[in-house]
Amino acid sequence: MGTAAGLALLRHGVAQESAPATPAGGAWTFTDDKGVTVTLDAPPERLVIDVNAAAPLWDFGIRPVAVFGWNATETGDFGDAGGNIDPSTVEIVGNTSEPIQPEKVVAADPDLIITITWTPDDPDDYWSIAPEILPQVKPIAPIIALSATGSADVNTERFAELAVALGTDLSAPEIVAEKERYDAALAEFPTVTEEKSDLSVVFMYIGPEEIYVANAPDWADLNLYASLGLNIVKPDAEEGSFWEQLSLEQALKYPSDVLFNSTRPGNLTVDDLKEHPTFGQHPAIQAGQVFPWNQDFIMSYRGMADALESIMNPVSESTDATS
Amino acid sequence: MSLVGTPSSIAESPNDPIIGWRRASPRMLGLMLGIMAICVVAMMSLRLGSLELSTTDAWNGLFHYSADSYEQTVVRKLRLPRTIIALAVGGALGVAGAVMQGVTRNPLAGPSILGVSSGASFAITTAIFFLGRTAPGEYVWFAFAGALGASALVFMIGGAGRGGTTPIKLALAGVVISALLGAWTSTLLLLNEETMDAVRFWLAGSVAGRELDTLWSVSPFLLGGTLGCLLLGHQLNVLSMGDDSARALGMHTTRTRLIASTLVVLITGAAVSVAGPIGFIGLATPHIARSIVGPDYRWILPYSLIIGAIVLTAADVAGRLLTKPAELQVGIVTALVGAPFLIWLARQRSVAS
Repeated sequence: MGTAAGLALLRHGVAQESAPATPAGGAWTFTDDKGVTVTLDAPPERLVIDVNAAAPLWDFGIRPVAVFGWNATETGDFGDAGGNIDPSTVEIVGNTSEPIQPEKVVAADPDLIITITWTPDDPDDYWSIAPEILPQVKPIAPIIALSATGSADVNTERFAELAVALGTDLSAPEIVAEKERYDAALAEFPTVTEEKSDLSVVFMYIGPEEIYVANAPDWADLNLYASLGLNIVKPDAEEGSFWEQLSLEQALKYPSDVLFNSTRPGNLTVDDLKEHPTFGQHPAIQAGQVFPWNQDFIMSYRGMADALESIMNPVSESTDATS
Repeated sequence: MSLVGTPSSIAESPNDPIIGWRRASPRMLGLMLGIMAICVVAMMSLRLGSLELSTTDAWNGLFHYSADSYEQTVVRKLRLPRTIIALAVGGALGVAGAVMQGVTRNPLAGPSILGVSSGASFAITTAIFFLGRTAPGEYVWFAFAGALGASALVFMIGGAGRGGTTPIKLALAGVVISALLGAWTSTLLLLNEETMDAVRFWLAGSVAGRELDTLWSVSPFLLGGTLGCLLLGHQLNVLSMGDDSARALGMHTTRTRLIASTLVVLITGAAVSVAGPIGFIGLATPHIARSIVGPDYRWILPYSLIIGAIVLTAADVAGRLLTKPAELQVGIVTALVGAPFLIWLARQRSVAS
C-alpha cells in the first residue's frame, strides 16, 4: 500500500498548498474552494469522484472512472443524489458503510480525486473522507473539493468552471439548452415570490418521533430561494446547525401556508400527516399545500432548473392558509 | 415483651383492630403507596412534555375532551397513548426481569437473556426486508413470532446434552443466539438502505409514536403472562434455595423453570413487539424491589410490576424534558440512568438472589 502510494506520487503531480507558482506550458492547474491549488503535468483523465460531486459533473459531460461516498451503494442505485450517473459505467470505490476505500482507489489509478465540502474554511474536512483515512488518500492523487454550502447558484457556476477545466465544452447543445432552462427559472422565480409575497413557507423533515425544521441560511438551495424572495420561516436554530429539532407535540410551532416535506426516507407520508393528531391541524396540511423537497438536488444547470421549478410551481398555485 | 407474656397479652384477640393495624404488613401499605405513585406519575406524564400546557388542559384532555383545543389533543392523542404503553411495558418488563432472576438465580439476568429482543428485532427486519414497509400493526405479530421462535431455539440448545436445562446453559445459549441473530439483523440492515430507514426507528426502543392498537392486540399475552408470573412467588422462593433443596422439597425444577420462562417470553415478546427493545428496566427493577421488600418473591413480583411501570413512565417524561423542545427516546434515558444506578446499587448492598 505504501509502495503503491509512492508510485502514484511519482507518476502524478503534487498538490501545492501555497501560492500558485507560474505553471509551465501544458500544465493543468485548478484552485478549489478550500484555496488549495492543484497543478498537474497534463490535464487529468482518470477521475475518482464522490457521488455528490460526480452527479453535477456528469451533467456537464464529465465521466469518472470510479465513484465513492455514502450514496455509492453497492446495489448500484445511488438514489436522488446520483442524478444521471449510469452506475454500470463506473467502479465503486467507497460505499455507505465505508465511504472511501483507499486500496480500491489506488487500483482505480486516479489522476485526480474530487469531492465536496461543507466547511470550506477547514483544510482537513473533506466529505466522505474521514480525518483518519485522509492520510492514506492524500498520497494517491491530489484532492479537489468544491463547496456544498453558500448559495446554489454560485456552486453551480463553480462546477461549470471545474467541468471546463476538465475539458467540457459549454457550447454543447445539451448544456446550452439546460442553461437556458436554468436561466429562465432563475428569472421567473422572483416574479412568483413577488406575486405570492404574502405566503410563508417552511421546509421540514417530519419523522415518526421528531421534526426537523430547516434553517435556510445553512442550505445552499434554501439560501438561493430566500435571496430570490421566498419567504422562508426562520426556526430557533443557530447558524451552522442546519436544523431545529422538535418533538411532534410542537407541530404548530411554525404555522405556514406551504410546507415542503423532505424526500429523505423514513419520514411520514402526506396521508400520515393528514391523519396525525397534531400535524393534521397545521394550516399548510389542512389546505393540502404539502410538497416534496428534494434535499439531494444536483448543482448543475439541469439539476438546479429542476429544483427551482419544484419550488416555484407549487408556490405559484398556493393560496393563503394562515389568515 | 416476653414470649411467655402476661395473661392479658395472651388474651389480646387477633381481631382487635389496633393489633390488626400493627400486623398489617407494611409491605401491603407500600403496595398501595405504589399504586398511588403510579397515578401520580401517569398524571405527570399527561401534564409534562415539550409543549407547555396547564393542569386544566391535562385534566380536560382526559375527562372532558374537546377536539377544538390543540393542547387537549396533544394530551389525549399523543401523551395518553404513550403513558398507557409506558405503564404496561414497564410493568411487564419489571415482572419479567424479576422472574428471570429468580429462575436463573442470577442477579444480572434480564428478560432478554432468552433471546427475546434479538428475536423480535430479527423478525421485524427480515419482514421489512422481504415484504417492504407494512403497517405498524402488522409488525407486532412478526416481532412476537420472532421473540417466541428465538426463545424456543435458546431452550432447545440450552437443554441439549446431559443435565437438561441448567441456568448456566440457558444463559450461554441465550448469549449465543442473541449474538447470531444480532449479526444477521445487522447484515440485512447493511444490505438494504430502505430497510435500515424503516427499521431504525423501531429498533431504538420507544413508547412515543407507537400505536395503542398494537398494545391492545398483544394485551391478552401481557395480562395473562403477568398474572401467571405474579402467582409464581412461592415457587421462586423455593428455587432460590438451590436446585437440590428444591427437589428435596418435592419441586419439579425443570418443569417449573419451563413454565416460568414461557411466561417471561410471552410477556417480554409482547412488550418488545410494541415498544421495541428497551434495556435496563428488567434488570434494575427487581433490585430496587428487593432493596425495599427483601428476598421474598411473593412481594418482589408485585413490587417489580409497580416499580417497573413507574420507572419507565418517569424515564419517558424525563426524555421529554431534558432536551426540550426536542425529545430523547426512552431507551436512551434508561441506558443513561440505568448504568450508573446499577453500579451504585451493587456497591450499596451485597446483591442477594
